[in-house]
Amino acid sequence: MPLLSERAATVAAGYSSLLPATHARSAISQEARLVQERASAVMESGERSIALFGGKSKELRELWAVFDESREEGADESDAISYHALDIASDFIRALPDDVPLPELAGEPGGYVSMDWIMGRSRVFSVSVGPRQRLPYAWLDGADQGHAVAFFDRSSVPPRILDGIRRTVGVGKPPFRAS
Amino acid sequence: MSESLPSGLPSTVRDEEDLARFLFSRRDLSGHIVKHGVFMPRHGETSVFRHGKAPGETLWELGRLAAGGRSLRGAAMFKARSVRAAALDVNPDEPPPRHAVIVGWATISSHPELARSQDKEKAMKLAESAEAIRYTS
Repeated sequence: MPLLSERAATVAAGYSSLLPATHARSAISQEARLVQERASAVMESGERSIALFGGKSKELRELWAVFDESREEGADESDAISYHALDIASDFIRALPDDVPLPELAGEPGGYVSMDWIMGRSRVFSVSVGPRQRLPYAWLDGADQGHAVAFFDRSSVPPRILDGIRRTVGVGKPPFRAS
Repeated sequence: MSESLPSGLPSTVRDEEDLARFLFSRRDLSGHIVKHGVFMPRHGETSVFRHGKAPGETLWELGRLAAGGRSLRGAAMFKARSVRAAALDVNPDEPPPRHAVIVGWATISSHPELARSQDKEKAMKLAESAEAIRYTS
């Protein structure tokens, strides 16, 4: 996993060559201004990717730590997370959209990874990722609670799960307006 | 009248009894909140001990015994009433002394993921009422 952060650093270093263009001063031609604007856009997009990549890279390292812990001496053999489950869990983390906070991770009996969004004792959303692409999930939101299963195609988070996470963490809710 | 077990405790667990689930991973807690994963069943049941917060030394003695080779991190404390409120039950299971198991988890062998999702919801209800205490050796 250190390779990931090394790669991010290399990408970041590559953008440094664009710095002079982004800091160009006023007396410049239209073409130069265009170059400057493009360079700024590339830098902005690059920085956003690095920031995102950094967060997910840390989360993937944490996933490996959960994987290792499930296979430690003294742990129940049936709780060992398989490489296949680890792959699916990695894909799920990568598939999470930028506006969704990354979950807390923990091992779960039976070789599953529990991905938890915990906003309080009574406000929790959790997905279990195991060796199959059918993902069990459950939520608690005050008096509202429930559970279901959704199929994960390994490239995009199932809409019902995404909706549940967003409702739990408060992303995408209309802003509160006092009457 | 219920009979007594080798530990001297009654053979039925009363609603008002204190129960402890020992914690062995730093990932069992989110700040001071007990995560629901702590209660997820292993082989159809969840192991607990019939003991309250006090006296602390007796509680941690049980915890060290339960730990085996693992590091004891703390305990999730809750009432037997909370187990039943989550549509589960708790039965004595000695030895070891004071040991009990939470039962009533989903058993749908044809739909293991659906069963797990049901268990997650029940475990969340139980975790909602649990209080974490940390072990300091």
